[in-house]
Amino acid sequence: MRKVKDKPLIYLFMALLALFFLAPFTWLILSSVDPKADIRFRIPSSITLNHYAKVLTGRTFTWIVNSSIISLASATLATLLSVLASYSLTRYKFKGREALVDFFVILRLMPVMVVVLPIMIIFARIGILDTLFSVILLETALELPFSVMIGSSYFETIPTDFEEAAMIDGCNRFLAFLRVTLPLSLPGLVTIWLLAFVTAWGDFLVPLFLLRTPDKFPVSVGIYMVFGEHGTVNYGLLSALSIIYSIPVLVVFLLMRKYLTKGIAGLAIR
Amino acid sequence: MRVSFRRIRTALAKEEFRRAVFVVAFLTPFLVTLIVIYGLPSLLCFLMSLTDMGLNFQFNWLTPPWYNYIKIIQCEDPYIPEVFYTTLLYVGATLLINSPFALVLGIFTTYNIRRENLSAVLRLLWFLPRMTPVVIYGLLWQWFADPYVGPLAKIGQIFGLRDVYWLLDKPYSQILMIVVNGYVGASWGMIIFSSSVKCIPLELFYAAKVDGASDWAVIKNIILPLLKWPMLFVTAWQTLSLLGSYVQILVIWDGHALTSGTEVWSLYSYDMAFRSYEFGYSAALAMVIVVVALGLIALYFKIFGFRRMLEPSRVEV
Repeated sequence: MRKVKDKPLIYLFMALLALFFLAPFTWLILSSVDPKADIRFRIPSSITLNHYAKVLTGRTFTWIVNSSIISLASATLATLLSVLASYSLTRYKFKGREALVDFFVILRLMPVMVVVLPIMIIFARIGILDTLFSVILLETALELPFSVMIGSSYFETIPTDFEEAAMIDGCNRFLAFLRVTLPLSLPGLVTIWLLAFVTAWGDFLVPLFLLRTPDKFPVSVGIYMVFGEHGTVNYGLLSALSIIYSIPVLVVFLLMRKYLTKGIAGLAIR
Repeated sequence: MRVSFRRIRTALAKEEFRRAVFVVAFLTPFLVTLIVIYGLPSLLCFLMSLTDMGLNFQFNWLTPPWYNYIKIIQCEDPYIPEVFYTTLLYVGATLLINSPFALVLGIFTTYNIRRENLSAVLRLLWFLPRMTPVVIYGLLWQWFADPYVGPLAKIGQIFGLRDVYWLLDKPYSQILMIVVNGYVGASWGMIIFSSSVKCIPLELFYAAKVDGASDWAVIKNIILPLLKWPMLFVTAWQTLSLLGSYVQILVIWDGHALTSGTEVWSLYSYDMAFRSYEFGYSAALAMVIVVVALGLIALYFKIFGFRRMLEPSRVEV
């Protein structure tokens, strides 16, 4: 397929467009090491790492810790729940299974406002509003439909022969799942976990809705709130925080690049 | 050894029972979470839409209960026509941009560019906005569209556009709203189309080349017809996603969406709740999106066979 002659014009067009959209990221990187960073695009006359040092202390560091807690906990919970659900959905054909799968697709498309408004009231009544736990709970639930779709696609690729062999050898159904299927599905589990982690890490709306105390904010809400705080914007600090905040997401996507182009689109469709 | 029919039947029934217990045990935590987080709140949202709930969070029922819906339908709220028009413009124009653009990107980066590494880098570059956390993406657009020092101002000056507040002045603000969301959508669609092109057997391309077909002929006669289902899927999914999305607009136009003509329906619902504290009315606005989305999903199921679009063998050769 890719034996067709390369077209220099296409390269040029694509490169120019990519460059055009890369400019903002270049500004971000330059501002983060510029002692006199402001909104203008400029090459810094000297380089400083002070902004990064500042980000890793005080309130901004608390935000990074909060983001980590929320993302780690919700990704782990979502993976656990979705593995159990997707395994039973793929291995056992039961009445209403198709309808359940369709229901996940519909859930994925529900406007978040429909869920969040009443959830706020419920959480306020049971006293967990403005806690990291509330954000973890909601993030987990919002990640579930997509995680189950990925999990189901993955389990479908694993033949049942190994499980059946283990059961013939004396394992019960649960042990066969635990000792045979689960280790075989490890790459799929890692994918679910990483995608759930990235979703929670980058999410902005859920913590914005559920958190009030600045010390409990994750980075996403922190950046939004600090932007323009006290009438001025510290672009150096903001850029450094933005870069540190973007690193986990970039790392995850780079790790998954191959999978993203080859398989994830197919999984995402389902 | 004599095995009675009854014993076999009992053993099978036991196995069936164990299987059912297993399915229930594995599915229950997931289903409970979904019911608590999606089912119950959706019902509550509907009930809230029948009240004039404010900051006190009390269910004060309206008379008639569907008053909020009447307020929307009869445009008693003066902003409704503008919000409706903006939403139509946003969904329609963004779709017009991102689906075809995603298709072009997907085909070019997979078919036209020969070197796998280079095409992967280009795809990755285009995927940057999707990888970037939404607040950073918003911040970068604010910088890009700054009326004094932003690159857009510099480009505008070349075309004689001076003193333009790109994020506030219509129609520029609306164009930006479409581009901001179209760019993110295009990168997602590109990945779908790109992997779909990769599913096409190479033999088809070789045969076409042997027959002397040009690149354009290959794209027009082989790739595009085979991408029918992915195209339908991307368009359907994007329409539904766009209906409920507003986060980029919220971050970039924070508080200025109504004056700049970028207040879409779901953002208006958000603003009614968190700026005007009219939770009941906000719930009614959100329910309208749910009804429209469900209607579209039903339409997709009926006309296109939505499930067929979601099947693994999307590229039918």
